Amino acid sequence: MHQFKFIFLGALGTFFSAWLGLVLLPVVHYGAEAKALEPGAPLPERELIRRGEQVYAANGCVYCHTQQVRSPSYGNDHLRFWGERRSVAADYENDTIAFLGTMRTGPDLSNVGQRLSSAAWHYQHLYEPLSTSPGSVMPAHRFLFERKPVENGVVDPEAVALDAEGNRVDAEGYQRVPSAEARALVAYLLSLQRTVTPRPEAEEAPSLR
Amino acid sequence: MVIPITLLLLTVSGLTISAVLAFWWAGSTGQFQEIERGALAVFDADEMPLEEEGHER
Amino acid sequence: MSVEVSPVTLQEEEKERSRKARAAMDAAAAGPVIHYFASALFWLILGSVLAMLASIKLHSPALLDQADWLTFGRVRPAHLTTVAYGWSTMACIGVGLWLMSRLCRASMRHTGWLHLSALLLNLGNLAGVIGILGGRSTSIEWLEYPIEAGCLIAAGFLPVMWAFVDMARRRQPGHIYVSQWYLMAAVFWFPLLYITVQALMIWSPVAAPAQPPMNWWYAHNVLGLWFTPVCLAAAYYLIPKLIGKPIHSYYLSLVGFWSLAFFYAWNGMHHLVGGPYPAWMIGLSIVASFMMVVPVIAVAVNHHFTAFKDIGLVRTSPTFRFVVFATFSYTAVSLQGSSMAFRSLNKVTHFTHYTIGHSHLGMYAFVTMLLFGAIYYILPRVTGREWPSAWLIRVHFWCCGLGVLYYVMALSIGGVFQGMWLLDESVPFHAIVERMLPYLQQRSYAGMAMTVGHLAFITSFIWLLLRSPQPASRPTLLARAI
Repeated sequence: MHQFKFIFLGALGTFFSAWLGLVLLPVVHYGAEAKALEPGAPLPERELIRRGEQVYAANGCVYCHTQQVRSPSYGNDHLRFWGERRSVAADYENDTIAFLGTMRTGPDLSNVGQRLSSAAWHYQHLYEPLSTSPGSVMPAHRFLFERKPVENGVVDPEAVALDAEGNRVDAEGYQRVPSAEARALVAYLLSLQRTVTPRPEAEEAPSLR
Repeated sequence: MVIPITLLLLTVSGLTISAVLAFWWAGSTGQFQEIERGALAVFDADEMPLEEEGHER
Repeated sequence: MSVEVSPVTLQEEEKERSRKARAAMDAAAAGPVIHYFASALFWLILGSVLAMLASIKLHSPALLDQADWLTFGRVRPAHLTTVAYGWSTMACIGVGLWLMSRLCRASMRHTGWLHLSALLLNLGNLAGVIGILGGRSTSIEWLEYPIEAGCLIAAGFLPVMWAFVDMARRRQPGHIYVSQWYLMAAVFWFPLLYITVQALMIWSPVAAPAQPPMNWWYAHNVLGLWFTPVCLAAAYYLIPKLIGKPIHSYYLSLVGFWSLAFFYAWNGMHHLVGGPYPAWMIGLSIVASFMMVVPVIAVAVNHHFTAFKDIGLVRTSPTFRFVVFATFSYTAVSLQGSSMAFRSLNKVTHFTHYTIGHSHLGMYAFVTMLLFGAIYYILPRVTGREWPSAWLIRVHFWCCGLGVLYYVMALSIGGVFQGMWLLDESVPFHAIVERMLPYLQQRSYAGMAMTVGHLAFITSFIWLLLRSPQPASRPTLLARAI
């Protein structure tokens, strides 16, 4: 048995040294810099954004959309208008989960709130992606919308278009309005303006440009 | 930057120490003696005449 | 009558003792090993169904798009987690337990605890899949299971650790075989990795900017310090056993083990190359990625040189066929992985399907094919029953083998194009989405072939368990090469 003790020791030593470098270090470094949630935004909106973050997580948006802008030396993200500067770690300090992502089946969302600032557009896109983005393979998120009857002939201003003609009421007199989850998700998407704030650490040595 | 660099040094020395420890142990307990015989540890007594037997399947 | 015992008889007695000892160890291991394999196969089939759904949805998004629990963003993580923690992890535990027993020449004891452990892992996976499909995915890649599933899986691992230690304590003196080094290290690495990262990312999450390094440190290390060591241990055991010759160089195999142990834990951050982290952090991981070439070459030389001492065996031995396929995949996927840390290649492939192709070359063409091979070897020994049909084994091998090669090819070629188009701002984004469709369709066809292979395998598996034991039967061999 005593021989195996040393295997454990070796395994543990290797593990903890790497743990120090790759896990503890970032926690010490970035954990200490965590700040209050969106200092500017009022409290109810902050809560809505946090709930939207949960909806984003629950429905796995991260598997097709990144939220990181690479520097001009590392691609042409800026030429696709995904962000004017590269992302830095501090850009995620207000988040609960940093959805960096690893796949660009869809476009980067770091600054989607700045690029597409209309809530109505996002509702329409979530309900039927093809209606706003031809050729898209994004799944329709109709389950984020409620089927409600039109009352007194007044159509909800947030009801989405159901066909190419822009009709917002179906044959049976029902409309589709965003659920609480959809509202939270869109509030989160609109809050994504990560590289709008200038950050000194995003500046690179001239040789890298 | 002092803290990250210190931790980095600690990490690297942790790696080296665990490596040295493990290799020291393996050497001192004879794991590296007649090292190629270690390859036979996989066979049971009845499988040892390797050329004739051992084709379990 | 002479009472003199001839040396031949003595030798025969010794052989008989060895055979009986092996049979006793296999009999003791049978319960938990079959429990683990059967559970693993259930998750493999469920994982394949989820994989097909996710794959088809990526080129035909209208498929089953009404229900929230079947949306792509839930089915995809459910696929990854069921095949990683259901299929691969449970099959690795089954294979690891049996190998440990055989190599330590120690019978498994208190197997009730191991049945409990398999039950906990099954419950954990079930809770996890329900959680993800029900909308409680964490969306942290490789850690999507909600909190209760993680706790069940972590708890389920404790009896496994205990069983490994228990067998190691009773091991016979002499050289520790390289497989034992790998197995003993892996059985501690995985729970440590898993519990640490669960604690820091799920139970009490650290600040968001510190999460991605941890996420990718875990996601990469769970491959290199859990699935890889168990599968390499199995290959180091099976190849010499099958051809009846020792491995090419025991010295090299130890070099491989220790360099994997030292360098691997530094990997993972190369998933964040070009990302929002300081250059030194990424740089360190890129260096570690290149260092991985050392253990890979050591393992590759050993596996291939040993296998080529009697490579003709692939014609007849199902296990050997799967294992040789898997060891070649290991060499390929590891060298590919190191190359992917190169800045020039990474720039193109980083956010593309090339990475998905790479991960399937690793988790499928290497890990899964090796586990298939190991199960073909182990199950007849623990049950005393032979595989019922050579035809089903052939269907299994060719569907899965050709399927995964086609899969990797489609996504690698498509991924490189995707990356080059992404870097060319004159190609509008929607054009990239449309141009990727044919590659994604080919991936679905490949996935279908692999699923057919899985169905052949589970048919064999159930059929074998339903047969009556056949003492001293001949092994099921493949009569011809195809």
